[in-house]
Amino acid sequence: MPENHQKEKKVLLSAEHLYKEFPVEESRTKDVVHAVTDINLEIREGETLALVGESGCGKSTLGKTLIRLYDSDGGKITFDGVDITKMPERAFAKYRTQMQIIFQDPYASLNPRMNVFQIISEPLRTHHKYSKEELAEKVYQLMDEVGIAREFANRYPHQFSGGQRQRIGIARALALNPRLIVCDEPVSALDVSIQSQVLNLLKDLQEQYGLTYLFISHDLSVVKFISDRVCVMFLGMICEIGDTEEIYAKPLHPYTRFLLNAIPLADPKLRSEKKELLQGDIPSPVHPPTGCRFHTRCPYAKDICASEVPPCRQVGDRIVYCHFPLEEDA
Amino acid sequence: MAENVLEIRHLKTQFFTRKGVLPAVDDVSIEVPAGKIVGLVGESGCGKSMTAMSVMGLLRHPGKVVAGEILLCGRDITHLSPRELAKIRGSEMSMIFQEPMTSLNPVTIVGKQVEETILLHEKCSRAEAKKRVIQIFQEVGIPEAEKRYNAYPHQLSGGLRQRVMIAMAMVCRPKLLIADEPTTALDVTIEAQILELFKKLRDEIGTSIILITHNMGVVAEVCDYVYVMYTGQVMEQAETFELFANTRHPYTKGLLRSIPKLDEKTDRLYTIKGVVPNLLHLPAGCNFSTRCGECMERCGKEQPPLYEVSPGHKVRCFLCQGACGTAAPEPETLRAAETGKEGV
Repeated sequence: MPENHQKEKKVLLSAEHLYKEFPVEESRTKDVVHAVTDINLEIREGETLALVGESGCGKSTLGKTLIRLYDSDGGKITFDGVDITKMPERAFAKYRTQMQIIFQDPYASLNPRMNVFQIISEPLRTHHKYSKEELAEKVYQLMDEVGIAREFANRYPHQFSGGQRQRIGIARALALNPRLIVCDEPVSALDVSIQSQVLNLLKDLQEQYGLTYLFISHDLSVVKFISDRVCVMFLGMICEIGDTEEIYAKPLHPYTRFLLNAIPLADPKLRSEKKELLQGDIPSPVHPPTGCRFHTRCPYAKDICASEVPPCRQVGDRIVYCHFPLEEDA
Repeated sequence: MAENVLEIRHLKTQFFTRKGVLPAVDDVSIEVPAGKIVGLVGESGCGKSMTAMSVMGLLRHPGKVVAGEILLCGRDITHLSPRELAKIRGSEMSMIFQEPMTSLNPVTIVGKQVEETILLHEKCSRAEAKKRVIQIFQEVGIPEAEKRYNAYPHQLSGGLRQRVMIAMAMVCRPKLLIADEPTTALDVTIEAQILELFKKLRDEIGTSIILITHNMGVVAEVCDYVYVMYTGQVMEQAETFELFANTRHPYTKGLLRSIPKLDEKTDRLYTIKGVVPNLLHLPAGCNFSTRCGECMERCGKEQPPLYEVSPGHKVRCFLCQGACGTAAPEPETLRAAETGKEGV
C-alpha cells in the first residue's frame, strides 16, 4: 500500500503549533491578521504535500513561514531533525540552501535587469565560490535540465513567454541542489497547454533528484495530479490532512467536500447532478469566527462548533479537525 | 428555431502596429441564439477578448474592424458612430470584466454606480432608480441589498463585487451580456455561485450570454454552445455535449487532455508541444500546424476551411474533410478562396 510506504519515510520538515500574524497597519487598535494559527504539519522526504484552500486562507504565508522567509510568531519548525525556528541567520544559511521556492507570477519574480545567466547563477555566486568555467558549466546544465536552450543565456526575462519564465525560476530554485522546494502556485498564471508542460517537468525533476515539494495551489485538479498528500486549509487553520486519493474519494471535513463539489468538471454529462454549493463569503481573518472557523458557512454546524476549537482527530493516516466529521453519515 | 440575438459574420479585427498588421480576429463567425449561453474558449492571445471588444465597439487604436458584420437583434452595428454605440451599450448589450475591482469606481458607492446606468438610458426619477438598484441587487444575490447600496467597492469581497458588476450590466435588461473571464479571479466556491447566477439569468430572464473563459470546466458546466478559438480563428464549434462527446480538432483534443482529471490517476499529463505562435509570424497553412501531432504535409501549405462534420458541428481541420461527406464546405473559407482552392 502506498500510504504505508509513505509512513516509513523520514520526516523532512515539521511544524508544531506554528503561528504567524500580521499587524493591520491602518488600524489604530492593535488588530492583527491571523494568517496562520496553530498549525501542526509534517512534510516527508521525497513526497509532494499540497496545501490547498481559497485565497486568504494562509497557504502562501504558511509556505513562506516554514522556510523562514517570514519569522514565525510562535511554535517550532524542525528541518531534518534540527530546530531552525530561531536559528541565527549565519548558522541558518546552511539550511537555507536546502530549501528553495518557486513563485506564482513568473513576470514579477525574475529581475528584469538581469539576463538568464545572471538569474540562474545568482544563488551559486551567493553561496559558493566557483571559478568562471565551473559556474558556466553549472548554469548550462541547469538550463538543459529545465528545457531552456543554452543560446538564450544572454536574453532577458521580457523576451520569454510565461511558461519559459517559470522554467527559469525553476532552474534558479534547483541551482543549490535543495532538498525541499516550496512551489507557490507555480502554474496558476499559465495557459492550460503550458501548465501541463511545467507540471510534467516538476514531476520529472522530483523523480530525478528525489526532491520534496510543498505544492501550494487553489486548483484541486492540479493538486490531484501532482501530490501524494493534501492539506486543506481554511482561514489560517488546517481542516484535514491525508493521502490525496483517499481525501478525494472520501473527504471527512465538510469544507473539503464543498471545495471538491465546487470544481467545474470538464464533462457536461456530469452537469445535471444537483450540486451542493457553499453559501456566503470567507470571513475576515482579522476577526475570525470563534471555535471552528468554518462554522459560519458550515451547514452542519452545531452550538459546540461556535464555542470550541475542534480537536485533532486521527483516522488512520488521516488527520481531521472537525467536531462532526462526515465519516458516520457518508 | 430561436432567433439569434447576436450574429457575427466573417469578422476581421486587425491591429496596425509598427511591427506589422496583427490579425487578432480572423474571419470569425459566431451565432448567439436567444436565451442561450455561448462559450468562447481558448488560451491567452487567441482573440476571444478581441472578438468581444469588437462587438462592444470598445477597440482602441491601433485596433480596427476591417471586415465582416456584427448584427445585434438583426441590426447591423458594425459601423455605428460612437454616440449611437454608447446608446446601446448598457441598454441592449453590456459587458463584465475579469477583475471587478478595476472596473468599479473606488470613490463612489456601488449603488450610485449602478444607478448611473439607469439614469443614462431611461427616463426615471432618482428615487425610482434607487428602488430598481436594490431590486436588481436582490436578484443577483447580494445579501442585505439596502445596506450594500451605500458600500464602497473596497468594502465588498471579490464575489460581491462581481455581483455588483453583473447587476450594473443587467439593470437595463440587455438582450446580450458578454462576460469576459468573469470567474477567473474568484475562488472555486465563489465561482460556482456566480456560474449558478448566469444560469439563473438565462433561464429566468432569458438573457443571452457570451461567456469568455480559458477553463474547459466552466464551459462544460454552463455553456449551451462552444467556440474553441486559436490565434484569432475558430478552430471548432459545436453544441456543448456534442463537442465534449465527439471532439474532432486536434487542438481541442489537446486542450481537454492536458487538464488533470479528478477521476483518473496518471503519472504524466498530455502536453501540446511548443507555444502559441506570435500573431505577426503565423505559420504557413493551418495556424496550429506547428504544434499539431497529426500534422500532414498539406497542413503546412493550405489553410483548412471550417468543415461541417454534423449539423452545427464545424471543425477547421483537413482531417475532417472526409467526414463532411459531399456537403460543400463553408463559403467562409476566404483564404482558401483567395488561393483558388475550394477545399472540395
